[in-house]
Amino acid sequence: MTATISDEMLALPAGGDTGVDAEERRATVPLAVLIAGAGVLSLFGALVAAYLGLKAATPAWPPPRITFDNYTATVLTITALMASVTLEWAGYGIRKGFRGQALVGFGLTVLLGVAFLNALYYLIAQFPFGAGDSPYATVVYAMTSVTFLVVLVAVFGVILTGLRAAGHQLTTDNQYLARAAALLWHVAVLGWIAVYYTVYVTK
Amino acid sequence: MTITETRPVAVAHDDEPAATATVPDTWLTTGDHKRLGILFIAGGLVALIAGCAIAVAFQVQADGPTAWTAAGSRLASANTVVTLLIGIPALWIGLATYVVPLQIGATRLALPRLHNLALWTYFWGGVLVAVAFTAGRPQFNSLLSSAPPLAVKGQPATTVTELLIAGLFVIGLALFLSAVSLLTTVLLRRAEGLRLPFVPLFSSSVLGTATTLVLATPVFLGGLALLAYDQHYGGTLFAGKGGARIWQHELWLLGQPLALVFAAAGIGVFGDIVSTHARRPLSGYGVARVAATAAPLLTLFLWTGTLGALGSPLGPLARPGAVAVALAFGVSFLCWLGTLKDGQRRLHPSLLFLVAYLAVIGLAGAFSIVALSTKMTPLEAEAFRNGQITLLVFAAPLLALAGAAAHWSPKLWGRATPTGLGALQALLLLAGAVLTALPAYLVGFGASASIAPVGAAGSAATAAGLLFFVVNLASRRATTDADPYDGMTLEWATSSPPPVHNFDELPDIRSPHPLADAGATSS
Repeated sequence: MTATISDEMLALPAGGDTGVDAEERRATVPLAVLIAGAGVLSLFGALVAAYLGLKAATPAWPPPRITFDNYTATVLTITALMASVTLEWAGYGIRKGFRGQALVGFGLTVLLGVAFLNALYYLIAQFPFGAGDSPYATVVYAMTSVTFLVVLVAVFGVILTGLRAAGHQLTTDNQYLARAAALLWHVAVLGWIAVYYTVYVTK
Repeated sequence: MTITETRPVAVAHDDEPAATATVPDTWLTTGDHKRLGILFIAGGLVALIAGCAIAVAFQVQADGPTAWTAAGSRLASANTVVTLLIGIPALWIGLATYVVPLQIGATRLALPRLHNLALWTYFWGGVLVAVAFTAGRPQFNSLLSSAPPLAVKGQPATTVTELLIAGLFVIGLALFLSAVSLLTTVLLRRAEGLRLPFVPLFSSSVLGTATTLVLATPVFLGGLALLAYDQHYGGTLFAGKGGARIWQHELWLLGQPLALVFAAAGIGVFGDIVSTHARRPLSGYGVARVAATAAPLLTLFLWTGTLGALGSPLGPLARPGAVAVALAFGVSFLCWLGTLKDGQRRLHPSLLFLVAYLAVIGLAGAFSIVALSTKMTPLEAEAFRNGQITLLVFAAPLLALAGAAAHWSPKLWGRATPTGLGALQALLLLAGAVLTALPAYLVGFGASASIAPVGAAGSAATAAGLLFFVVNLASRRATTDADPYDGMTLEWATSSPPPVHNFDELPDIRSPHPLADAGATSS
């Protein structure tokens, strides 16, 4: 007797972490984060465009007597990139089933993320101008504040994912949240790099 | 012996207990796309009717031509925000949320909880805006005016202004979240066999519209962040040339894709309507599908408008983006004509909305041509542009969405729209919109504002047209007539209104018209 089951045979939806629906769920969250990430990059694009538009229309840019110490901003950039590396390491740990490495990766990322937020807050607090002093001041405040909010959301996402990893909810077959968290963090870092390059490198 | 087990029908029966297992499925916490859609539609209707009431009050109080420039009118400002940023988008999201999963054979949205979050975010954004406008007069004029706000150096904004900015920010965020949810749904929740080229035209247009919103709304939010800092700290950002550019491309309504995206989405709506009521696949289906998807996307080109074009009395029609949208529109129009010519036409009220939609767009185009030979002062040009906004940004999407509601009324309300009532609603909405826009056009052409009562009557007629929606919403019922039109797309493969899990069974999908294929096979 030969039993042939067609490929079109439809299984009933399975619960838990297996089955067709679980597969869909795994694809859904990373795709949604990717789409939202495109929007976040659009947000940074709008702010950078505003900065460049103002710069093109203003003879003295930045305004006279405004000098920046690039040191903190550069350290922030390095911190953000290091966190990207540690988050990829965490994702590698999840993919390969090295749970210990994954947890260390998530822990380091959260640590670096919080350090980033702390330093960014310090940077904003140390600006040598008030937000309403000039168009330059307004746009720089807006860019850095938006960065702070986006990175805050990304750090929150990494913390949630790390907690799930600690609770054995992320496995080699079920790593979609790790991918989504990494995407969100990388988008936030890209946004900061755009701000850093515009405000601190090319000024 | 050989046992061959095949599946006669593709069943999508995962009514997602996970979405409801931890939280009871009430109207407040629901993840059901039908309930979410109804709630968005209800919210949009409240906003639109409130907007019409504001418009009546504004037209009654109008005391001269400057009233139509929105340079200082709180009522004009409130009307713009309430109708164009809350009402029309909420109505579109509501219809898309209800219809798209049915059209693509899905049992649910891809991200039901996110969609629920977007709904209530929208609601609280609307509340903030309402409180702001009720409490006082915001310091910056409406997004209707091409002139940027000028904060007085050292004078921080009032609480009312900050409330309004916060409300707009929350609404923008909700719009963004809804777009992410709808886009993910179309990309990932399609039934087995329903490839992207097979997706019905309305869902295709949702794909384009949601993509545009995902990219355009954050730019609006970025502009609001700048505005918030500028107003809160009494800055001078918008005083100079650079600031004016930011205002015109990121915040001013006509300087961004939000202006035309919902009108362009009408192309997808009417593609499905024409095909269903001509009882044949759309002529040039591939081209029409590309046009339906591309038209909302092409509104992104509105950002390419230059200051020179923005100063033109042609308003949005003077820009490459609008020309590109017009081309997509023209192609779709030819496809509709070809389909209606060769098909077995059935008179359905949704087709009357198509006529009204075409009339509104044609009228705006005709006014633009007349404006070409008219010399206008900046004040008159501003008033003229606001007339264009009424027709293109308000009336055209409203007529398209009302047409969609009439077409999908069996699914939405549980019964088909009667032809007479549908015709009356189309007439009220069309006449209302034209009469509302008339005073602004006349001021643009140099006439006096003594025609204001006509505008008030127009707004009242529009409100009366909207009440048809309210009556339908209030009297929803279940019917067993799943497919009163012999439809060809998947939403007609289930009962009206659909059950919680949407489909008991689906036909095999091998083309954009699976029900027509199934009918041909069975006969």
